[in-house]
Order: sequence, then C-alpha cells, then structure tokens
Amino acid sequence: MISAKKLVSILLAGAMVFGLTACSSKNSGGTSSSSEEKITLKVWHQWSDDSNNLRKHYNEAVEQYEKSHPNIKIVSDSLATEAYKTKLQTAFAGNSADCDVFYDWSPGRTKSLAESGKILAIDDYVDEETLNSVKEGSLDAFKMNGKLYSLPMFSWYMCLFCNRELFEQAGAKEPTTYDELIDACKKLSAKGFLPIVNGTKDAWNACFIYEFLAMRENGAEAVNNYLNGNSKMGDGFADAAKKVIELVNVGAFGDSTLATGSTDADTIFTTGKAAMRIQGSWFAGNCYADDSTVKGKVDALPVPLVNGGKGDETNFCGGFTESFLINSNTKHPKEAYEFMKYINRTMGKYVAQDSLGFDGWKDDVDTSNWNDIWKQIADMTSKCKVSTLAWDTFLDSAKTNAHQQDVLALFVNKITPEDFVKNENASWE
Amino acid sequence: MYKKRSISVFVLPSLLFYTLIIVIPIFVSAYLGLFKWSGIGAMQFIGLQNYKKLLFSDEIFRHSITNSLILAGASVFIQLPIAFILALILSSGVRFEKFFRTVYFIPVILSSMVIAQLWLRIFDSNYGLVNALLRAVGLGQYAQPWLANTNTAFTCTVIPAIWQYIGQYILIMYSGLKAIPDEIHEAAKIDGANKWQMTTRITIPLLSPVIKVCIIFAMTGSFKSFDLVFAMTNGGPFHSSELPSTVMYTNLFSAGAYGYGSAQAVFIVIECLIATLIIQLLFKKSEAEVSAV
Repeated sequence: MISAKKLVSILLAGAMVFGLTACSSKNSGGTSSSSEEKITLKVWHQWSDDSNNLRKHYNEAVEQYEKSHPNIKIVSDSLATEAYKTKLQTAFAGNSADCDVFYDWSPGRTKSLAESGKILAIDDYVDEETLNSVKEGSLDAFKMNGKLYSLPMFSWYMCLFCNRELFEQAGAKEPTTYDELIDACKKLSAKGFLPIVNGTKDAWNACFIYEFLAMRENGAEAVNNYLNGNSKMGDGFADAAKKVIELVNVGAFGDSTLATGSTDADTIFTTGKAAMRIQGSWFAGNCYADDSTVKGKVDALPVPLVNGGKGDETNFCGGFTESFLINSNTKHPKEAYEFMKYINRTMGKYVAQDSLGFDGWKDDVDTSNWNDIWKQIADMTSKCKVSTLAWDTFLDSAKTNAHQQDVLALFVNKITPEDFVKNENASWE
Repeated sequence: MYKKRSISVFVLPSLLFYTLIIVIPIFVSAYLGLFKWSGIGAMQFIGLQNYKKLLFSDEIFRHSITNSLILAGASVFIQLPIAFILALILSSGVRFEKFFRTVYFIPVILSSMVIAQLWLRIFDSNYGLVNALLRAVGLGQYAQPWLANTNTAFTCTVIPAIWQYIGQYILIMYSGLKAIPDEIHEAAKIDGANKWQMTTRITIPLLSPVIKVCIIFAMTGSFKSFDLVFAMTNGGPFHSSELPSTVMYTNLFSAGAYGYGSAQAVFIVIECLIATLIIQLLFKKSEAEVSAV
C-alpha cells in the first residue's frame, strides 16, 4: 500500500525526469540544424479543416516548395476563420505576431496593418515580369498610400443561386430584376417554399442583401466612392434600404432567418429546402458536394437588377481580396517575399481548378473539373468591368460594425431608410 | 515568528501567480480603457470617455446589464429553489440516490457548446422539439421561431443556462445537507416539529453558509456568463439577448474598439465584486441572527 505522500513524490519525480528529457532532446535538435544554416519561415493561414480541399493543396504546395528550396523550412499554423481573425487581431495589437507570412482576406484590416507599419511593402522585391503576370485590377486591394503590399491569390463574385425544380413547381421565373424577385418570392411563399434562405445571424451574410441592392441602385462606382470616403450616402442608398425592408415584409427570407447562420443557410439550400440563396461564388462547390440533393438543379444568375437603378450587368460584388501578406518583423524579407509570391500564385491556380474562385494570375487553368454552375458564373463574370468588395472586408472594423448593426436593424424593422442613411454617414465622423 | 515567515514563503508562489495572471491584467485593462484604440495602430488618450459612454449613453450595454440582472434573478429565484428541493429529496434517502445524483450532474460536465447545440435544435422553428410538440397537441398557432424573435430569444437562452447548472447546486447543497447532524433533526422530532417546521427552522438556517456560496456563484456566474449566449444567439437577434460579456467580446474582437471593450471588462469585474460584497453583508446579518438563536 503506497501512501498518498509517496505517490505524489513519485509523480513529481516523474514529471521532473520527463521535463529533463524533453529539454535535452530539444537541445540536441537545435545544435544539429544550426550548422546547416536552414531558414525557417512561419506561416499562418485559415484552412484549418482537414476536409477542406484547399488545405490539402496548400500542404502539397508547401511540400513542393521545400523540395525545390532545400534551405527553407515552412512551419504552418492554421485556425478556423473566426478564431483566426481573433488571433490576427490580438497578435498584431502587440508586437507578438510570431510569423513571417500570413493569410488575410480583408483590405480594411490590411490597410490598418499597413498604416501602423506591421506589414512589409514589397515594392523593393517585386519585378516587372511578376507585375505583368497578374490580371488587371487584381492588385487594387493591396495598394495603399502608393505602396504595394501583396500579390493576388483569387477572387469571388456574389451570385443569385436558384433551385430550378422549386421554381418550376411554383410556376415562378428565375428573377433577373428586383420586381421579378418580389413576384417570385410571393409565388414561392404561396406554394409553401422558403423563397430566399439567408444566414442573417451572421451579420456579413445579412449585409450581402443590402450591399447588392445598393450596388444595383447606385452603380458599383458610386458604392466604391462611398467606401473610399470620397462621397456620402445619397437617396439611392436609402432606396436600397427600403427594398431590404420590403423583401423582409413580403416574407422573402422566411420567419427564422435571424436565427440562421450562414453555414446553416448553405445547408438549407443544398438540401433543397429553399428556392434561392444570395452567396459568394464559392457556394457553387457546396451545390456539388457529396451530401447535396440539388446537384444539377441549380442555376447561378447575376444578382437582380433594379429598374431605374444605375448599376448594370457589368457591375459585380466581389473581387480580389484574399492573399498572403508579409509581417514587417520578419528576419528573412527576401525569402518571405519569394514564398508569398509562390504560395499566392500556386493557390490561385488550385482554387481556380477546383472552381472555388477565379485565379488572380494569367496562368493556364485546367477547366476540365468545372461544374455547370461554375461555367455559368465564369461566363457572366467575364462581363465584369467594375466590382465592389464586400463592405465588411473593405471598411475598418468600427465602420463595419456600425454598418452591420444598421443592416440588422433593417431586418427587424427597427430603423427607417432615412435614419439608416443618417447613421451610416455618421459612422464616418 | 518562524511560523509566520514559513506561511508567507508558502503563500508567495501562488500569490505571485495570482497577481500576474489576474490582478495585473485587470489594471492593464483599466488603463487601456482610457484610450481610443482599434487594437492595431496608434492609441489615442481620451480620459474617462469610454467609462462615461458605457455608464450613461450605450443603450446596447445597458440592455445587456438588464439581461444579466434578469439572468441573475432567474438563477437565484428559480434555479436555486429547484436545486434546494431536489437536494432535500435526494438527501432524505430516496431509492437510487446515487443514480439521480449522477443524472442531475451530467449537464454540468457537458461542454456549453454541446448544450447550446442541443437547445438550438430544441428551439428550431422547423423541426425543433418545442414546435413539434405544440403542433402535435393542436397548439400549432403558438409555434414560432423562438430564437429569431426579439421577444423570445433571451428567454430561450436563460432556460438552458438554468438547466445546465442545477446539478452543480444540487451537489453543493446535498453535501451541505448531509453535513447537518441527524441528532438535531431527531431532537426536533421529539419536540414535535413537523416536516415543514424542520425544513424552515432547522435545515435552512444551518445550510445558510452553503446557500450563501450558491447565491454568490449564481450571481457572479450570471454577470460574467458568456458561452451559452455566444453559441446560441451571439447576442442577437438585434441585441435582444446580449449579455455584458458578449457586448464586450464584440467590441474587443470585431468592432475594433479595444479600449472601449477593456473598459467594459473592468466594469464587469467591478460589478461582480460589488455583488459579492452585498451578498456577504446581507448574510452577515442573517448569520448573526442564526447564531443569536
């Protein structure tokens, strides 16, 4: 019979021995590698889910890179989107960001990082040939105060996804204009179908509805002017707000949209329980996933036009925002730049092949795996001349928060279109 | 003298640790609360403006405090009485005492995220248990999107919050009840006391230190409660189920108001301390009365 005291002392001794061995193995590893002068680059990204194809591609790409650059070791660290966002925020709030290259998708955040000198401008490293091999307009989001901070990876565009089968059963027409949209919603509701499923619980998804209407009412250029702080919201923006309220009032989003998150909304559509979904082009992949019951029944359309609105079919919501950036604290700026360029270019290609986004580089992409929806989206976005980014990725976090609150207030009918515009304009002061 | 020194030597490590991870961060937060700061970039000193805003003009935060008071009230006046009654029944020697004790404790050890998912399904408007039940008994007109309605969402987060921790309080009270010597009850029985008198005159007064602990736990737990609401509604729809900690989280990590969020964090700490002090004072009075008897 061992007494409690003895047991504790044995445990403590064990812990000590374990600690010693852990130290010693670490030490021996450290000395052997330092003689080869190996450079380690730490990379943060948000493809954390093992079922995510992009994670697989990323790991392949890194493996390739390490093979062709034997002196470089890549150490990757990933977290799911929301947690990753929090990590970036906290790590860069202090100077504790222990990475060389990291993934970001928000020009608003990129801007505040650039302004406070936390990310490295790449003007000294980038060459003419590289600049010539990216697509036109794909660098816009990474230019700040006359400096370039990154190279593009891939883009997305907002689309209207329609379940053809439900439309046929309700005798409705897939809408190309706002009036047709209202009409379709009424017909679909009358048949007992949920017209548009929207993940309003996730504020960014709620904002998609307002943002597409604002773009159609005012035109993409006017929206960009507003987002850049060059102009205030005018009547067109109030009209867009009015239309959100109207859609809510005709029951376009059903009665539980406020408790539905974006992922839930995706599933509701891909299991055939809703007729429409307004979502980024990446959603095409969900419609063809293994558990989707709507394979081959979905059409992708441009978001509906508004009669008398200034936005036409060459305007899109979306664009190039996703890319890897370089921490200005990195000890190996040259190597970090080379890897950043490589990973953006390689992942851009992979994403395009898998029909999850559009490549930011003028590389040949294998389109043999593209599904029907993706072909439709590629076709319609080839007309794109001007695009607006999703507002939450462009505005700084304080304005984003104010914008999201205002849009949610529209969804619960707690704000008039006039007050909406007043609030939004006030968030700039 | 020697004894005093050895006590301080043994206390020192944990005191240092405690200071380092709890006391200092509170003061750092209080300090950050004096700035307008997005979390990245330059900090702008604005004095007490953040504190003024959260006390006097932030309606979302005020509403969240009201909600946390409602939650605290529900914990003290609904959760604890239920826990007390169940603890009384359990300790009176029912059959399968151990089994029930375990069953009641299960929700406590489950992760809040699991509980949130469970109750999200229960309140779901299409296939949720509540609506299915209402429809099955012909009350379909009362079926509604519980979590999407600004009037019902908060109540729907209070119910699982209460349900989750009942087991914990049952266990605390149950062990308190077991510690009361049987002789006292026997003496009371011989004096002719009935069950009601025995409960109100003997059990409750003798249990009052335990009840005090439970009330402190329930109150401070409500003031700093976060996980269930965060996972179930994230404060929505339209801030109707917001708690101080969820508002704080939004400010800190998504609204880019690091300074303001820090001020809110300090407020929550102070609120919990004041609540604890008040409860201590109230009980000091009643305990003095008990010992006087």
